[in-house]
Amino acid sequence: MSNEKVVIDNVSYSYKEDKKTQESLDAIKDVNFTVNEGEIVTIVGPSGCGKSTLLDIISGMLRPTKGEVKIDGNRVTGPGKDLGIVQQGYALFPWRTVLENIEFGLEIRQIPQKERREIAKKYIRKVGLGGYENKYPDSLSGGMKQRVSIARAMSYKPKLLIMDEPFAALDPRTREVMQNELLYLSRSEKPTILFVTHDVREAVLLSDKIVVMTGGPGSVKAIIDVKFPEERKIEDIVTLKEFDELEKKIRKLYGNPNEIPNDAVF
Amino acid sequence: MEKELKERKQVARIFRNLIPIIIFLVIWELCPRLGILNKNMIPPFSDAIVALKDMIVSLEIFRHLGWSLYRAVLGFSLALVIGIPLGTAIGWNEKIREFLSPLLTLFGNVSPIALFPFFIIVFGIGEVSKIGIVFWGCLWPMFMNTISGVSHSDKALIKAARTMGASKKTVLFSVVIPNALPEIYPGIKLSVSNSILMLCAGEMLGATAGLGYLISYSQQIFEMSKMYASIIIIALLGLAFTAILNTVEKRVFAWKFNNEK
Repeated sequence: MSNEKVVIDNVSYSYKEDKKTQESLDAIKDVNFTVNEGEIVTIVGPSGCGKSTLLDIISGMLRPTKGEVKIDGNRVTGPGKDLGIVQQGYALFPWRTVLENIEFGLEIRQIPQKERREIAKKYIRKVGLGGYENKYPDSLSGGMKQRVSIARAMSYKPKLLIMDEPFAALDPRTREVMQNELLYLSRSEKPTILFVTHDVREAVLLSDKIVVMTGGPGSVKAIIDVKFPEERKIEDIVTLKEFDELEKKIRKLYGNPNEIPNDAVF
Repeated sequence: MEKELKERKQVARIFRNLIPIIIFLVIWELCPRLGILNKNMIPPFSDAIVALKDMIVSLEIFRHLGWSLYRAVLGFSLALVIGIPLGTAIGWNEKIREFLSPLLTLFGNVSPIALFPFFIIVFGIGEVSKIGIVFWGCLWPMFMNTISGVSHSDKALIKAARTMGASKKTVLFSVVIPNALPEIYPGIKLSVSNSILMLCAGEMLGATAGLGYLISYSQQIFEMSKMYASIIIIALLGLAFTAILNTVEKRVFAWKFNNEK
């Protein structure tokens, strides 16, 4: 019980779509799951399944119509200081150097300047960007930008790190490199991560737990535990039989893209 | 070796930039002397320099320069202090911005010079109306550009900042305004050039001191050399302001030019 870092308790969100008929539309319905401390939990689901709405509720930007989100036992009522976020578009401040970007979260928490520098420099090295301290984001590649984004979000050790399709904009090779790096980082830091992706394979590779969501309205179809060895490397995992089985299982739940609906006419 | 080459290239470039100006000045010097231009209307360049020298020696120029600078700086500062905060407030609130947009577009397009009689009636012919004209001319570029820049705030950046725990105040000062600055700054540059424009216009139409007054008065008493000398001073003033703005721009927007710190 004390291991639970984030509890999503029966969360629903509906909004009035049509002002005339006052009909409300459910964006998400009865979502239940927990993220334990140090876990990587991945939400997998098709577009429009309400993932963004759920993330907005967890980060306090949106109030659920029903249910609640608790972080460390405290109910989330608005944006707070517990979270970190890494987004698909990196969202780096172009007018700040790499170092200054990483310091942003520390500035907000009023860490004194000298300490801030030290911590930021430490994280630059952790993500392998030593030497790039004074570069501006514009001169970095996509993968490097994402590393800065990760360093920025981790530097103040948030209670929950939200990663919203962070590697989706990267080329496949860089994506694999980043996945490995995330695993490596998470081993030393043990952050609590809520990861969102479309990529079933990525979910199986990275997670301790996978939450499969379906759309219309968004709800949890299944929660699957993933048990690969701690010290896993991606090239080793993909050879395991369990990996294939898990991937197939989730694809089935997720909906097979190769299936053509009965009433489709081509 | 490379640095030497760079320095020599810079010197060469400065020379190249000066040549057209020197040619122009030579033409200005020779044409009146050769009778190609009327010496009484357009005295040679050297006469203007002599008149300038006299004004410096008699300290006359500093009195007028002082008045002009005072009006320009005051008018500009007022416009800055009102235009940017107000522009931020309006740009931030979409509903207000949409509501005010047609009115602001209308006002922004009314030439300040056309409003000068209005200023005189309301504020008289004293300092207030002159500074008011400068203020009005400086306000609109900064104001409109701030509204635009703030309304174009990058939502992903704001989301990132908020989720990482930034307060609304921090978001405004550490995200929204820096993000809007590339749009605000051209407005500031335009305002600065407008300040000189409005200043001259205002001083020509009703003043007893200032560079604009000097130009107008010299023309009226037919002291042409003095008139051209004053025009040269105004041109140099404009150049100085531009140089300052460009230097500041290189510093503040180093990140845009992909420089390292």
